[in-house]
Amino acid sequence: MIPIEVYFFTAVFVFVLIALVRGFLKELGVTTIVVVALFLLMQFGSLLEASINKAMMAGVVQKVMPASAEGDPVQATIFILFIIFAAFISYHGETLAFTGKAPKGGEGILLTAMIGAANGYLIAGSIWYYLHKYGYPFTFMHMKAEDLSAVAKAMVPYLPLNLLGQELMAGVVPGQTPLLYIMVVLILLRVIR
Amino acid sequence: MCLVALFALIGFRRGTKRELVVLAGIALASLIANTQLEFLTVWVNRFYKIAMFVAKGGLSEDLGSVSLGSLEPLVQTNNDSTWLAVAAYAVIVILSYLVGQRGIKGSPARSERILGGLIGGVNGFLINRFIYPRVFPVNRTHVAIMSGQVSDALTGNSLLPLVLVGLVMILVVYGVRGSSRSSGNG
Repeated sequence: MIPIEVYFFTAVFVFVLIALVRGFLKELGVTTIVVVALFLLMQFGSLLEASINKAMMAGVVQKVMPASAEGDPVQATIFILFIIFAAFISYHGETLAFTGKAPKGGEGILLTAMIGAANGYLIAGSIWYYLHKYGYPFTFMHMKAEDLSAVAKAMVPYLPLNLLGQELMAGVVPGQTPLLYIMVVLILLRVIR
Repeated sequence: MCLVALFALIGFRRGTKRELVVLAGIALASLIANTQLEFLTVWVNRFYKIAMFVAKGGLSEDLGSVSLGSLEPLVQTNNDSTWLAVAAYAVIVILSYLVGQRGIKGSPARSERILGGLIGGVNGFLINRFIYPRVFPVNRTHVAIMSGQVSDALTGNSLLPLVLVGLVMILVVYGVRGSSRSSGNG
């Protein structure tokens, strides 16, 4: 079985290649949308989870997707589909692409590769986050949390919603997370040109 | 933390591009000091022995009176290796400062200075993170400062990822500012 971190790094590499084709400014548009999507998940994820649980208790969801003895495939599916949908919209849309001329030369290539890697980290890392959170529930993956390699276990605390969703001033000013600041900076950069 | 502020001030004065050169130098220095220490130790000891051989008379004396094998190597203990790593790191970082200063001409604009200050702060954090725990190991420090907590902050795994995230955002701002200027702020 291929370790999950290999899938992760392969996905990040693919996103870097896509970024090199599309360019720095378009990729920033993707980053903005994905960050906003993750922020919404962070803020309203628990509400969504509770709604899904209510629907499951009412027996609505079981008709579509039977419960699994291990993990929670319904929750994982919905959250992962949301992330994939956000990524799909961001890569197809033009509106939020940043305007201007992309940086050229070696500097431009490095910046573009960096932002492509960041997008790969956000998208692939968030999918991994929800797979881990709900116990790798898809049987076709043949994965369990306890079977993760040492590298994968070390990486889990640094997945996007773990790393960027942590409170910076817990107990002092609630809700101050890196994701909030990144979202504000990106939106300001988009608006103030 | 004062050192980080000092590096930020230096970065403010020098600008973004020069500080990016330093950042690359820091990455290279970290790589070399962490992975090539054995290689460095061998060659430093060889050159040291050659220098000592010459200093002690070398080939001018009767052959055999000065033996390279009898000369003590310069780097022997773990402590010596640590100082070698710090020295190698410092040399590469200083060279990167000089290369940036000489290679990039002109005075930076105001926005470049601000970004340069931020990157300088990151550089200062990374430099301190490497040097501080090696120069002031927690179990040997007797000065009445919170060295344990400072050491934890610099060497622990909690702060570095956030610093790297901050660095990525700084580079994003730098790239966006660059694209603004090249389009004439269209």
